Amino acid sequence: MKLKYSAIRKYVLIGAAVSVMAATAGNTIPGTFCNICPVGFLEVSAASRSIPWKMAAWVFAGLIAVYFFGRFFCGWFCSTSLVRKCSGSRCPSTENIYMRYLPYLVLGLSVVLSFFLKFPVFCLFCPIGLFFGFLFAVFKLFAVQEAGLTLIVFPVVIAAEVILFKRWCSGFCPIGALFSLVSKIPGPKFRPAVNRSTCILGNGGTCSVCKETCPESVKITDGGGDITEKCTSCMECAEKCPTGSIKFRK
Amino acid sequence: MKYSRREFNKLMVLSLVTFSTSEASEGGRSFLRPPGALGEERFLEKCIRCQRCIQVCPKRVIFPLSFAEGIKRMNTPVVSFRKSYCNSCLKCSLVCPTGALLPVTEATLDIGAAVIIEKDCVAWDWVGCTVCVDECPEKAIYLDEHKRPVVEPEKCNGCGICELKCPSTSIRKSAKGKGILVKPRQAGTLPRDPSLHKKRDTK
Repeated sequence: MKLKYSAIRKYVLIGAAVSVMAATAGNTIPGTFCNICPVGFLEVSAASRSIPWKMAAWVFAGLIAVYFFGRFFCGWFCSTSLVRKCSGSRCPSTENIYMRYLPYLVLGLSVVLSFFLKFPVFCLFCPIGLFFGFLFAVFKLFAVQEAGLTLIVFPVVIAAEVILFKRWCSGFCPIGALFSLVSKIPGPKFRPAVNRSTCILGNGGTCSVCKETCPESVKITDGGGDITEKCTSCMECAEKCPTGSIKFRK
Repeated sequence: MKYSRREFNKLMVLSLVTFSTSEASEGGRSFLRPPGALGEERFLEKCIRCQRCIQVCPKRVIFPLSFAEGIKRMNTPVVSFRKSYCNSCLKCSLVCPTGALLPVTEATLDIGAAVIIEKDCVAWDWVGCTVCVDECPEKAIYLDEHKRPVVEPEKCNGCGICELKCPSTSIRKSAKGKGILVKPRQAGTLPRDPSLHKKRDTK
């Protein structure tokens, strides 16, 4: 049996979370994703009025990868993606023009508020941070037999953000917004492309499989900016396309 | 599902409430932070809540603060000597990516200072127990003329061995907790003097 992209993606997502905890058990130090978080970097810079140089190199390397591969982190590593994949939550498509700019507003607000309130503000809500916070709370439970409110509150907040408010990833998340901004810089991009000669739509038929499988509801067959900015390179469209017309390439 | 304006407003109000409650939390040092931590205010500005110091600690004394301690402080690292002590490997201060923990040496390591809890300390009203005095690697605790332990805060690095080994609760039923606890240095307590540091053979 051929291993499907969606299955590989699930293993990678689970593997990322497991490896962080395995590293903790073994006292090695990859840290959680917060180490390379560009939004956290901006927030800490704003809150402390100084640049954490130790972090800068990793953040920069991450952003270079984002420049080529877009929001690949969202699709392949983000713990929120894991939660969404396990709960089957999909982002509904939106025609609302204002909703498109909400993530950028959140990004701006979190940096500005961090500056004035003097602590990284978005980190309080960040479902990625809360996810690992929950794992570490479990670790704490076993290490010192001390249970905290964290064990109940964090999963509830994550569920509210990601499962109830389905639009979190494309309609709120400032990390995704920052990745979208970096993706906008023109240059070589690794994104899905539709082969019009084999696509059912190109031959006069009706089909919307790719749009329906896309977790971000990107209209892949329409082409354009949405693919560059919103595609998380999860490759589910390429896997599900009945005619195999979608390929990922430069 | 269409995302209505009312829902959006609700979310905004909720987040503003969160900000105000977090702002209301009091300043000053009241938590035992990992080695090399900046002052509480600066620490909260710089800490990115990445849990790296918690991961690297070989003695497992660093833990994330619970949600119950305030939303602004949740997930920030604190030190707990309930099950272990600090062997001054200093890795936590080296791995911090944002400089919320600054590198320290064994001589400048200063987590806090041990404080004798007089009502729980067995030796305070009944001579005989010298566990903390014997265990202290910095020789920061001595016995006074009544054989009661006294801490010299300028020698103490807050490693927590005394707190870990204190047998008060197993010796006496009435003891509510350990007879000696490591606490953040309060205003008026002497800072640690690096020149008084005792070299240790074992790590």
